[in-house]
Amino acid sequence: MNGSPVIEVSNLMRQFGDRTVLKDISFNVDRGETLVIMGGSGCGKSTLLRHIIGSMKPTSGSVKIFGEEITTMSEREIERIRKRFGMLFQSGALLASLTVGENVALPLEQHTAKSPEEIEEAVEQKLKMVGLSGFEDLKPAEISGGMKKRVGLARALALDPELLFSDEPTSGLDPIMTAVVDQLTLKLTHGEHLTAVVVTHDMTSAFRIATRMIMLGHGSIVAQGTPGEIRNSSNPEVQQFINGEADGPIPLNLSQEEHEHHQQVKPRPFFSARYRFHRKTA
Amino acid sequence: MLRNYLRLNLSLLHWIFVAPFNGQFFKISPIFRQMVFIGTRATPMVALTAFSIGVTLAMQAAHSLQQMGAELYVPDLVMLSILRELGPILIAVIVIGRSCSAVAAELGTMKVSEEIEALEVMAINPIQYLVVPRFLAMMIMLPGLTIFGNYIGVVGGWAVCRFALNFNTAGFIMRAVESADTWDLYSGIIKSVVFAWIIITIACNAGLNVDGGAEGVGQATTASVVQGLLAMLVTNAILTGIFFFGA
Repeated sequence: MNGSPVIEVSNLMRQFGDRTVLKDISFNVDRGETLVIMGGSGCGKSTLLRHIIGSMKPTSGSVKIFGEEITTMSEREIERIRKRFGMLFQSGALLASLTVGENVALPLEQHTAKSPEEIEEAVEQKLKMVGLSGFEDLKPAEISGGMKKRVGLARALALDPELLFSDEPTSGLDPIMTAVVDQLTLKLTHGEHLTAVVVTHDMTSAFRIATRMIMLGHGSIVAQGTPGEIRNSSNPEVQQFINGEADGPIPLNLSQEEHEHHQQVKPRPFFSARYRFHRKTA
Repeated sequence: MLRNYLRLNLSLLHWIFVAPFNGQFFKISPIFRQMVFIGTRATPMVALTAFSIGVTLAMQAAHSLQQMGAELYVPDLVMLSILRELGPILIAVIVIGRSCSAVAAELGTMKVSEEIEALEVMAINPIQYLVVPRFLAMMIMLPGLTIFGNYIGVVGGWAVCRFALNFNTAGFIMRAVESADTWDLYSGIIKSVVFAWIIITIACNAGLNVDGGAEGVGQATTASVVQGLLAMLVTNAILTGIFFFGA
């Protein structure tokens, strides 16, 4: 088990109607690695993530997690796999009707036989880890966006997962908090052999945590390698992206169809606003 | 839409009747919380509505029956119409307006803000975690509210008879009990059980299938109320046909 990759994606393809959103995606993630997936808006990052966690089924290709094929699994088998990984959503996705503490406790209450005291202790410890001790009794509506994200991280880590997925863990956080979250990820991957898959736009954070990087463009992999290889890549698209330049080979005009699809998959108001700004100044 | 609705019903049955035997028992405490929202907090409204209807019904009946010199039959009419029809229908209408819209809006907002997806990714089934407690609470509380409303409605009828028509209380009770069969009570309760099932599944289905932000939540809330009302009234006609017109 230890030698085999935690995630194996091979020849993954997904079509919506006659539009190919993901094509021929193949990569492996080994235990203890931190894989960063980057790419522009609407390039299929979130769709790819949803295929890996089993909430979307590919048109063809295979996704194996912990050596088990997830694309053909029944809902119940997927649940068994899902107990072994944690996921941090872009917005935190906390349950608004529960307090911060109850949110973190939720996976423990549902999936473990721990006593209320043990759960309380575990919740306290996880919240301390993300720097939010003492916030247990607040509702998600009463804390800031960055705090919600950290609570989301605490909840993702509640079951001590072997694998962590993060969808833009640092967007909306201040630089100091970004560094804290990055250090936490590093500590977990180095100390506790957690495997992490992070989708991000934040290049500083990406280069800080990644052991390997994948850049997506138009549904396929443009480049992959270690942070060093990506930084020294001769591919102009990669250089444009990591240096954040407005001029370059990446087309700025999303076609109407692509734009609609992008909206449907996941609206990213913040990033698309930045996108429009670049287009104007280009 | 209909396919989603049937699938929701099937998985609901699975989580209530099959899964507990595979060791996946639903939690009890959320059911009580929902019972308070759906049932207990609706009692003042139910009481007021049922009382007004009982009073109105008795006044109208008295007016018509007096012309024929038959005001003796006012208790019969009040009793039968409330137990058989008005009790279950009116209380279902109140619960649709109060709780179904709230459930649809709550689940819809959770869908829109990725909370449902987050539950799925945490391997918590949204049907088991969110729908089952609401469903069971409704199945318990709507018949309960109906029985409660029936009493209050009959008390409304009694008030008119006692204070405006010179009945004495014992006379009212005698007439009322004589006219009504236990089947009249049971048929109303069976109706309210069926209504409970229909309206809560419609509300949950509308909420879970929300698409497209705040606007979608609004539409789902409206849809849950409109579809719930229509389905409830049509079912009522069918059940009345079966109970009192068949055979």
